[in-house]
Amino acid sequence: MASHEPRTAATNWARYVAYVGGHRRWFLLLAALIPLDVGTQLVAPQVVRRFIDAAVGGRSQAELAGYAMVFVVLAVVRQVLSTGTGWVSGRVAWRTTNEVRHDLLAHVLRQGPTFFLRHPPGELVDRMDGDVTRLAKLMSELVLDIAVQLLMIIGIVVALFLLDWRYGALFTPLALVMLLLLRRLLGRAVPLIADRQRAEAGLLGYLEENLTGREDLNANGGTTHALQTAWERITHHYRLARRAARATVTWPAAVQALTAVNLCAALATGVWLSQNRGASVGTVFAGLSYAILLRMPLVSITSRFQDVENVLGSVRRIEELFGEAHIVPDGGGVLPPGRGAVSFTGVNFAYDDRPVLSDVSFTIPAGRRVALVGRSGGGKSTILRMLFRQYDPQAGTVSVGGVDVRQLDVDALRSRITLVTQDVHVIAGTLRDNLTFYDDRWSDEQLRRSVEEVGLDTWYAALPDGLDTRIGPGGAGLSAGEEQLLALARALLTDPDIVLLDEPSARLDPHAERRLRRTMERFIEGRTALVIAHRPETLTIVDDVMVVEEGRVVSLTPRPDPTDGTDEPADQRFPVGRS
Amino acid sequence: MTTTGAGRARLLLAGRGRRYAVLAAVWAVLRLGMLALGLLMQTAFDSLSGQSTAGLNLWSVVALVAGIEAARISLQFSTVVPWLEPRMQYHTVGALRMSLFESLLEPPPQAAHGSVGEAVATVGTDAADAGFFVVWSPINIARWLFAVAAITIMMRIDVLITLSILGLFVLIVALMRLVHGRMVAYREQSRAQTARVTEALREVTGVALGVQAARAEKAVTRHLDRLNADRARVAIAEELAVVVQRSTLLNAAPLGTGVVLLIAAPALSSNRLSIGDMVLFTFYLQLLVDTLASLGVLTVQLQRVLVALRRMTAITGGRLHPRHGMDLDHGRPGAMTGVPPRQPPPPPAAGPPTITVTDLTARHEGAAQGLAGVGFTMPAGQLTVVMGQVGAGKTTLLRALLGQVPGATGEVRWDDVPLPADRRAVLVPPRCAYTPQVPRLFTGTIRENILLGLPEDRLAEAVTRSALDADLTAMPDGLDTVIGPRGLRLSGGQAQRVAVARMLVRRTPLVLCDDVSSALDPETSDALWEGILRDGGSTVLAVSHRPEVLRRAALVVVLHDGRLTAVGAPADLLDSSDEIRRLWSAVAHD
Repeated sequence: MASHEPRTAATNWARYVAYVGGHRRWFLLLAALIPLDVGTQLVAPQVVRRFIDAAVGGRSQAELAGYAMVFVVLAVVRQVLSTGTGWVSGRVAWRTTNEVRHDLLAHVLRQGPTFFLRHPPGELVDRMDGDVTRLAKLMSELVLDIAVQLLMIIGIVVALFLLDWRYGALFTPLALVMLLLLRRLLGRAVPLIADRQRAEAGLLGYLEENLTGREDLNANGGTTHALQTAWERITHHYRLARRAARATVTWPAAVQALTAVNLCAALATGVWLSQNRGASVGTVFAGLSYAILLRMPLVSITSRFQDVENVLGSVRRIEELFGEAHIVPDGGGVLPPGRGAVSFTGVNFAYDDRPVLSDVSFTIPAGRRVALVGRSGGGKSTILRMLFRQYDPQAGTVSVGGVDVRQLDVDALRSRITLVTQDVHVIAGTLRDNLTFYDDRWSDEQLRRSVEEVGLDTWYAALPDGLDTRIGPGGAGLSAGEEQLLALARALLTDPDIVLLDEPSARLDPHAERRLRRTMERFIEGRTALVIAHRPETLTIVDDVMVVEEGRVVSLTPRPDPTDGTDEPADQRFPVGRS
Repeated sequence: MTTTGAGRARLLLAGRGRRYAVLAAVWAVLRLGMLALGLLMQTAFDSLSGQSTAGLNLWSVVALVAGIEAARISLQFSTVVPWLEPRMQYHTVGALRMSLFESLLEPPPQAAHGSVGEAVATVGTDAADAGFFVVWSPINIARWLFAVAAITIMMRIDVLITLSILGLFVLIVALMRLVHGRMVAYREQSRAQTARVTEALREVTGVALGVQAARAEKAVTRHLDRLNADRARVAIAEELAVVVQRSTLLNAAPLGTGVVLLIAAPALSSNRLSIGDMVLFTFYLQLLVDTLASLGVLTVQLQRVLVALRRMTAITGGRLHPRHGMDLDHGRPGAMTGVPPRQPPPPPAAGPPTITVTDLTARHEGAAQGLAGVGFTMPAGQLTVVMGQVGAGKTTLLRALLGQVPGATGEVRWDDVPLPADRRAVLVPPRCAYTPQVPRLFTGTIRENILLGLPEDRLAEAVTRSALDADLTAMPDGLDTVIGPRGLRLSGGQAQRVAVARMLVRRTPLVLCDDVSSALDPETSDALWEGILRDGGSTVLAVSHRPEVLRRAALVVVLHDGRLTAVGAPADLLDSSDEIRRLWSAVAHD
């Protein structure tokens, strides 16, 4: 598994800039609102300074009240401005990250089987939704807030210069040192936070897998073991979470220490200016106010940058996902029209160094129907998946219609092929969703017909809401046999040139199987078909029989005609008890 | 138990009450420092404006401020944040996750448990929310203590100004409540929308290869886009409500200062109020707003943690209890209170049992499938085969026998001893093992998947009996081959046989298999059944239609629409069942 460690690719920030670029106008609006917001905050201490000096100077009550009113009005204006900026940024963040979600899902759906072996659904969901939501937070709150607070810091330094050049002279280097120090310390904890998040995703993935399989665990006495493993993973997560927490503390500690230095420096400077340079009480107060005001953006930035560290971890994980390419490379070529002959030439294939196919060569002429037989695990399913380009050979050539499949456009190739796999999954949703996967190109009539043709008519008739009945987890139950039929009903909706059927008649009783065989026969009629057969009867609907054993094609011969007039073929691969 | 406040607190603290108290006390000390800082400011400005000559020298005030700040910061960042808080927070998270997992693994028979997606969301998010609350609350307890002290000091200086500030705060809180109601409504909607999105994502990534086979990638992406757009709408509305709340809070201090200035103007003129007093007011005002902010967030946090606790309690059917004796630092998992330690059922009497099923009746919620009054007797040490069409109730029969179908009635006798109504506690290893129709395998090695924690001594035998030897030899890592989530890396037939090995390694006198050879070629299937039945050490109940299985059966049970239509030795059933006749014709040539 070592070779599957996620690569730490450099973050492709251009990708995110491009997402933002699509919403340029809203970002410009933000750029206009933020300085206004900051400006209103910076004027406030000046107003108080005049108020105090007026009070100490014994000026009129009306003048004092006037300063007080200005102060109140400023606060109200600020309320309106900050609400506006917040709303705009939230809107932009959701719109843009939904585009990221779209692209991530499209990317994931293009991956081959090895990708899904490596990433269980729980983990993928955490990355494709959890991490992206954290990214949305970055875009709406964090970036905005950090921009506001940085502008604030600069504004405060300028205001201090205006107050007394000595304040400015003291605080400019202080602010600079702070920013440099913070910049240096930023990001230190990111790898540790990524470790914690990975441990969490791994833990949740483990729990999900085991909760899904809890009946298997209970029935086979595996719960104690599962609890033990869960405990180990929880302990692991605890250790990593604490380590990450220790690493993240440096940053806020530095900021707090520096702001304390600020406060003391402002107080000391004020006292000195007042005693030696005759600064007014109002000036000392304003200096102190700005120093305290400086504390707010720094503390805020602290927590924000802590969030940023979290989010950067998420962005890195999103990048890891974008960087994973178990996609079969797209050749871009077009498949010549027609049913398409299929051929393998010297094909070798191994999963993780475990040979699955060795030097497989065969040719199936266009329109020919072939049954694949042989021990399970011999490589039959892999042959089908290679034709559908979920795997590519490590050596040799797979071709369809005389063209190497690697030179073809993947989608164009798949549009001509229908694949029914061994793993049938029913999703929690309506019968319609399960038949179409949310694709609305089929009419209800077509859907109903395909359900009926596979022999699910009685089952269908009993459904309370027809095609809109919820099935799968939390809905109407299906037996495994019915699930298998549903998978075939999905296939019947298509009109392919090549049919790849994997174990179509598994888990059926003989009556249903007979009926299904007729449907299948109609479906593969006139098409190039590869059918993995486990029942002797299935051989009656094909032209040729291919025997696959231990990753090799042992023979490919025309199906012997049944001589005794029954359905039973004479093939020796089906030793069903006859002598 | 968990509905009371004390019960909830015990769940959250997970046996760490004392550490929680220490954390709260340390935060209170840190806040005390802030209180002192305000008083020092007052002294400084009174002295600066020449209104007070008594008290401390100005430079000693500066030194005191520096000392307090240094002490406060070093305590907070060397001890509280890096050590005390994470130990508390992640301990609670770990305890809740462990307890949740433990409860969810064995749901009570009547519990209406939701989808696994919902359960995982609860274990993930709700436990994390609860952990956050545990470290968030002490900070805030300290804040409120500070607020009481600060208001007392302010009242002694000027009652009118203090009351005006409090009046302003009351107004702000009222406004916040109004907005908060809206926000909670939006939050609930956005949570529901998020659940829809994650559930859909989980589904489509789980069936990604199927989506590719159906070439539905674009349609699926469009579907998710729609769900995401729906969520964005409510999420943006929620965000607006949050922003209004936040900016109102941020403006509370400036507005409060405005109020202080307005009222202080005449008081300053008439020397009833000193500049130092005014400075103290503005300083404390800032800190009081922090408290006010936490008050606003308090309802949010409380709501969030209560919702989390409610969901955790609901999803476990009320069986979530506080955890005691857990210690993550020393690797002690502890246990939930009120839950008896897990005990395997007593080892069975020697030899395979005769199992008598009487009047087994079950209704599958929401489906036509069911069982009506099914009864038969399985001969000891032999094979009983269940047959019937798709949807006849074969799987339901096995699951009802095991006690896994809620609401099922009927009796099962083990060598004439009736088993208790909740058979799920009894029909597990070492008495009984089961392989379902679509077995689930877990991420890990084949060895781990078969053993599930058992010692290795019977592994080789179980592998051989499951006809796996040839497959394992072909894998370079053999038993140590890591198989992916849901056992995808294996072919369907290999996965079935690994599941059978998992069942056989337990050497139980009763064995139930649901169509375990469906994906196997006849030759392998034959070897597998040879292995399962090898020494007659188990009574076996199997669903199958395969001739090589039927040939080995001592008894055949035929189901149709959940009713028993025929039962007997295979040869005797030739007259009553077409299916038997057809299959038997294949077997009889033998």
